[in-house]
Amino acid sequence: MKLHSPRFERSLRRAVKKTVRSSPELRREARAGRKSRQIRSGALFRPLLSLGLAVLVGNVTKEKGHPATGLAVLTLWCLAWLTFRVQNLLVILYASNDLQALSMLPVTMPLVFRWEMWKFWRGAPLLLIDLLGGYIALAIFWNQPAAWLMVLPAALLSWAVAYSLVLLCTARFRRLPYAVISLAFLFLGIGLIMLHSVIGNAALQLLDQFAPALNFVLPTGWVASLVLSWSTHSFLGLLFLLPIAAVLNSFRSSLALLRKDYQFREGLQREVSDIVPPSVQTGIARPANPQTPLRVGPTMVEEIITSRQFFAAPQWENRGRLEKWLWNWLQPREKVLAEFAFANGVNLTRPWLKVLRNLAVVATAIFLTGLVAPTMQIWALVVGLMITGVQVLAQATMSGTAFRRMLCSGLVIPFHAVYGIGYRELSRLLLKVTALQAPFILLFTLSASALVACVTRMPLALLLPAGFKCGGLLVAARFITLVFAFSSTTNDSSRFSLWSIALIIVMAGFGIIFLLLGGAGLFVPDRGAAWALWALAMGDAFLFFKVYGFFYRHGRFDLMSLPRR
Amino acid sequence: MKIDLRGVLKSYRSVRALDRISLQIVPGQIVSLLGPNGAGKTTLLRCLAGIAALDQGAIYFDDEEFNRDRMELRRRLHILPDFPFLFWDQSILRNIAIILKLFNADGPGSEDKVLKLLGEFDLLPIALRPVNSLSRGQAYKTALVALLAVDPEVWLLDEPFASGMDPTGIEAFKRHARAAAARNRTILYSTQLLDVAERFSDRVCVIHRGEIRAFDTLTNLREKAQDKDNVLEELFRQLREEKS
Repeated sequence: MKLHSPRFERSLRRAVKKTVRSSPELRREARAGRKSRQIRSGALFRPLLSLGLAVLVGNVTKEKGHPATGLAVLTLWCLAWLTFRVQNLLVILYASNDLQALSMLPVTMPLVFRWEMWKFWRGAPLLLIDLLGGYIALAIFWNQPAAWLMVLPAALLSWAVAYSLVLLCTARFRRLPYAVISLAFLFLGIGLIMLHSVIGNAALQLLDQFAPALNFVLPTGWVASLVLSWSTHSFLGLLFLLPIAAVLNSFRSSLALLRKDYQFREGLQREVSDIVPPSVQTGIARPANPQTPLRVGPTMVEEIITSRQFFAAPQWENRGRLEKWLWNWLQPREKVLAEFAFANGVNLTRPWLKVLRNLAVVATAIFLTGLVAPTMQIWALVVGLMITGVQVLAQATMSGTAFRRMLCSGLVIPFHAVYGIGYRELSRLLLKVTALQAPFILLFTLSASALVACVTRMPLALLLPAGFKCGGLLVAARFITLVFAFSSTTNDSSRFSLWSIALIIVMAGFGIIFLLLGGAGLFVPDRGAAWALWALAMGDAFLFFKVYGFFYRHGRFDLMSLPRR
Repeated sequence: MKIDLRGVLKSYRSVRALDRISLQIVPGQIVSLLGPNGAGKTTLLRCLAGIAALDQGAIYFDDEEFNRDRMELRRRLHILPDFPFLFWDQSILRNIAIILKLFNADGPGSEDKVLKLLGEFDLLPIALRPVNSLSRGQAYKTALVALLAVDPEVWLLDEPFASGMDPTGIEAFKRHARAAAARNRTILYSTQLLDVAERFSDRVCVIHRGEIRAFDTLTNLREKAQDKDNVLEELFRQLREEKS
């Protein structure tokens, strides 16, 4: 059995078209169906991203006067892409929407594997386009015929290495925190774009300083190192061919390993034990023999129901002080919604203790690297803050399963829509969760600014207010992330209507204004103006939330969307 | 609760799922929604639940205009999609408890109602099992028990007879629905099973291409029909002929 047969699909398409053409009624319906295509913003955005990368590589190379820094940009890009694609491959292989349907067809698992891999490879040429753009920018800089000849082989080799690494990581190192790393890259990218006029030069200086090391250490930079040695006519660089060959060689074995491990396993849960643990007080006499356990029978279930025990939610308010404060702050309806959003209870104290512990580790690492290799101090700071920053973001924007959705009649519908839960009440709960954590968010940003001051020798008096403002912006950003969370379960931006266009413009406008005002609030030299801009950014986030709420509550879009492809 | 749809228009781009329909449903009725696939039955249920937004027109519940923000109205109705929305990692009892609390229906006496319903739907012995270890029919029964325990004023059910429930479950559901209608509850359900609709509804509403083609009691429909024994089949045949 074939899952994908272009010939069959072509002939089927032809037959369908012929039938449709022969009937005016079907023709009308087909025309209507054609109009209902979704707007795919990715199709427009992706080529722009490739172009942006090529321009960045060209500008960086021109600015520094040598190709190492431009190549380091490509190295980091490939690394970011790698982390993103590993996650992507894991989702395609093990959590695709079509797996359920495929498991019911008489197809073998190797065939399903081939089909899912085919879906994965469809997106693979995008990186090749990025790399071609980057190497073309470098060829323009070199301006030699040989450099132009190098573009295609170098791009192809970098691409092959990157995808061999994707397979290697998926097959053998799938437990690494790829989501955290790719998120950190994303925030780093957004931060650099937002603040490029302020920290752009310093970041470029830093990248330039460590470019050769990056290209040497990171596997995605080995081809770049090879290209670099070629440009300097250093034959020693040919040694990079060895690790490159090793990585390329791993391609087949990684693929074979993935294929071998790709077995259908029915998601069966172990049946819940009917033995009542000795710690549970039931009020029913236990058997005299301690070896005979007390079992849950229908009578026991009846007891649980009639005594209203089943209404009891997990006692999360006793997990820590933060949880207790939150519990006391919540209104009765919000407590019910908390049960809906966090069915297993809210976790606040432990994750924050973890963040603070990690921050202490970062501070220690900075201190130790300062003693051993002061030039590495900045890297310890950047990597440490990136990781703890992502943890803080995850904590500040926690929503539990509030925006859980379900595939229903070909559409994705959020749970909150089915159970009559409103925009305001659900938002109020999640905002309270974030607001309670605000002091910890501020503590984190203030500590981070103190560490930055320590490493960069910048005045603490300058960085502490910046840290405070960053914390405030993080808290205010919750209004925006909430809007995006609600938006992700609706069709607000996929319909081609005046309202949708207006909404997209409003959303993009408020988002950009928040970033601009927030950035200006951090870096405008005039203190009074900076605080005013910062306050305006906070107000913008709140207004954004309110405006979207207006659209939401007045039913300008459906609380359902087409499933993501 | 009286339901009043006034000129409701809902399009999915150029496809009109509901084409300016107007309809009044008085409380205490069981109404079956019939129509070919893609006729607009599920869209109508989703509009009534506030999931789908109207392009034009308005819906009134007890003469009060309904919108997504009218939480007090939204909590008076409950939609049960064809594939139940449940917390798969939680037990049957926990699911029911969460849903009852969301609808503020966990007051005194609710426990007796839950106990009775679980017994009737054969869920009592497995009430502590997580939903993801149940069959499709059992999962649907769980959601249905929650709905019956909530006992909202308007029940909106999408294809309840194609849910995988066993005959015992179906019988129990019919019994409860009839009792609820007698208590002035309004029950709207979609189905493709004409014989079920014929025996289990006070009124039938036939939708075709977003338009209401018939909304009447079966007695009245029979009077108008030529083939009095197969009134619904005849209606569908007419729709089919119209299409071809």
